[in-house]
Order: sequence, then C-alpha cells, then structure tokens
Amino acid sequence: MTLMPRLIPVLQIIGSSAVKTTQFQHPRYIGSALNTLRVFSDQEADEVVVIDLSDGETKASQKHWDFLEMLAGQAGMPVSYGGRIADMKTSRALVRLGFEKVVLGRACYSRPNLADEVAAFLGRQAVVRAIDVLETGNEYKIATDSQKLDLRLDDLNFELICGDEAYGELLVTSVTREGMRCGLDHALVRWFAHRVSTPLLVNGGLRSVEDAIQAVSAGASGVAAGDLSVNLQHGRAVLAHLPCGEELTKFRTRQLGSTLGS
Amino acid sequence: MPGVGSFDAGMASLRARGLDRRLKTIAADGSAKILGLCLGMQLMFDSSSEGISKGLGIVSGEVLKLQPQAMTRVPHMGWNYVTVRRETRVTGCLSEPSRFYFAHSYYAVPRDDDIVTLSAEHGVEFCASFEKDNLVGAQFHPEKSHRYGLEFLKGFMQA
Repeated sequence: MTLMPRLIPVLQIIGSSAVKTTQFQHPRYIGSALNTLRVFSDQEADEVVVIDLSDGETKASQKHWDFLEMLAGQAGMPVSYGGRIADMKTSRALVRLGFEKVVLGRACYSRPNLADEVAAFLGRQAVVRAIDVLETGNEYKIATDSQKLDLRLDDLNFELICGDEAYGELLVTSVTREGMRCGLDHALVRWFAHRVSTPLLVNGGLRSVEDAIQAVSAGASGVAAGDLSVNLQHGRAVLAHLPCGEELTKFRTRQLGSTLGS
Repeated sequence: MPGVGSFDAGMASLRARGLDRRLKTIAADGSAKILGLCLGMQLMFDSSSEGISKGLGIVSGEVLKLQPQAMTRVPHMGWNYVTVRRETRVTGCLSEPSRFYFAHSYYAVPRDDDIVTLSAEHGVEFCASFEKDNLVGAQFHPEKSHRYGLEFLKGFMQA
C-alpha cells in the first residue's frame, strides 16, 4: 500500500468569515470560517489550505491572530496557511500557532531567498511554493505583484525561482479557472509534473471527482477543491461538503506516480 | 517532542533550553515516557544526513534522506497506510488498516530492527514507528491524522 492522492478543500477567509472568490475576485460570503473548517474536519478531509484574503490592518491585529490559532486548533488534519506571507517572522509565528505549512507565493519573486530561509528553519516539508498562472490567449503567464515582472511559463527558471530543495511541494493555481468549476487545466499539470520531483498540488477549476482523477493521472499528487467544496452548484447553494463514498474511494485508490522526465 | 523543523535547528533549539540533557536523563532513568513525532522522533537518533549536529543519541541509529524515484516524489507528503510489524499495547489500539499523515524528506533507520513497530512504504520500506523502553517515536503526525491518530495517542497514554 502506498501514498494516496489528496483532495484538499480550500478555505478562503476574510476576518473570521469564509468566502469564495471567482478568479480571486468578488468574494462572496459563505459562512463562519470556523464552522466550515469543522465540517471539513468532521468529514475527514485529507488536508485544508486556508487562504487569508483579509486586509493588512486585520492581519496585523491580535484579534485576528487569536482567531487563526483557534482555527488551526480545530483541525484534525494538517492545515496550510497562505495570505501574502512576505517574511520569515510571519512564517515562524504561523507554524507556532498550529499551521503545518506556510504557502509562499508572490513574495518569492521579489525575495528569491525567502523559501530557502524558511525551509532552513522550519524544514522544507513546511513550505508550499505557490505559482499563480494566467491563461492569456495561447500562452501562460505567471501572475506576480509587479507589472514589470512579466513572466511567461517557459521563462520560469526552476533553479532560480523555485530551487528544488527550498520547498516541500508546489501549488499551481490557474487564476483564470479559480472559482469557475470549468475543469482543471490538465496540460498545465503535465507541464509541471515533468519538471519537479516534489509533490504537486493543482488548484483552479475542479469540476468533479472524475476531473480530479484525471489530474492525478497527469501527475498531480493532490487536487484543491474550492467552489466544489463550499457550493452545491457552481456559485450557488452554499453547502460545505466533500465528495464521499465510492467516488472518493475511486480517487484515493488511484496510483500516484512521478512522471518526472518522462 | 513535537517536530516541524530541520534537524540542526531542532537540536540547537533543544540545547539552547537545556532540554537535551533533561531528555537524556529521562530516557536513561525511565522517570517519564517520551513520544517523539516526525522530527521529534528523528532527533532521538545518533545523527542525520540532514545536518551536521549530533542527535540526542537515546536510540541507536541514523536518519537518512529519501530519494525521489520513478514513482515516488520527495518529500513523502500525505496519507499513507502502515503495516504492523510488532504487536504492542500501542499498535494494539489501532484500527486495521490504519493510515496516517506523513510530511518528511528523511527517515530513521534504527540499528536494532526489532524495535520497529510500524512500517510504511515510499520508494523504500521505512520505520514509521518504534518503541524502546520508555521511548516511542512516530514518523507520521498522529495529532493530525483524524481518528487513526487519536487511537495511536490513546495507545501511547495507556501503554
């Protein structure tokens, strides 16, 4: 028996509220973040990724940190935290609060050593390196915070931008498909699967369990579920829930592979 | 002994608090039980290929690096099943089959293979848990493994 693919609900929060965005915009209120996380935990989610969309003022408040500690403490499974982490101090504090992993994304472009520094202290298994991808016409672009840093996917220098030893897994998000429930980008999964030897998580557009199974076949180690895990239908009828029963068994018994270099 | 961190940073942190000597004393006199989780388990061994620091050396053996292979990615990250290698009061509490959350790039190799109680597989078969006198180690995270982890922790408390 070997490692199982993971189905990972994404919990987006603003303050203590759970929200759901479309292409990371237009957050819609879903309910209490704490209750939503409890539902995921009760349903034995493999893992949860918390994406904090709160403003800077909220994030700087002690009240919010108290809330985050409570949130992490509710989980019977590992929880990652992402939300514009830009330094080592914040990463350490989050792990101390009870988060297993920190998601480092756009800050890594202006601070190329950030992932290395955090991995050296917390271990690389605690670092999730996030890459946000935009589909523009016939090509992919990497979303960064700076307009000047206009990267095409082919320009992505793995040595420089995400040196293999500096992170524990890669989270690739299609911003274009985020919250759209239009299907994962399997070509994008294959592109990354051939280039990295770490676990690969894919986010953005998940339509069904069958879609997740296909992503695993394309080389993903885990699949993030956003809209699918909080809405009964796309963008409507809020219900925090996870796939279960035979459907989930079919996904979990899928053989994980490494298509590296093939 | 919890463990999210790297080997040298973990040892430095124990030394800075004087906890290394305290843990060695407890291991030797049996005045308490110690449960090492993930890195916490690895720190109990003599050395690790992750760093240059010496470990606590309260369990004989070394910690080696997992190598990515054709079908396995590293770190070993996610839920994996374990095989019971030895029936103990801890493993006796587990449901069959039990699965746990793993997140590691290194694995411990005890010199005495007989102390291994649970094994798991990721490219290689490795020690997922051991028991030796008043010491218990788990490479996985029972505190983050839903009811399966709670069964393991219950077993540790009762043993």
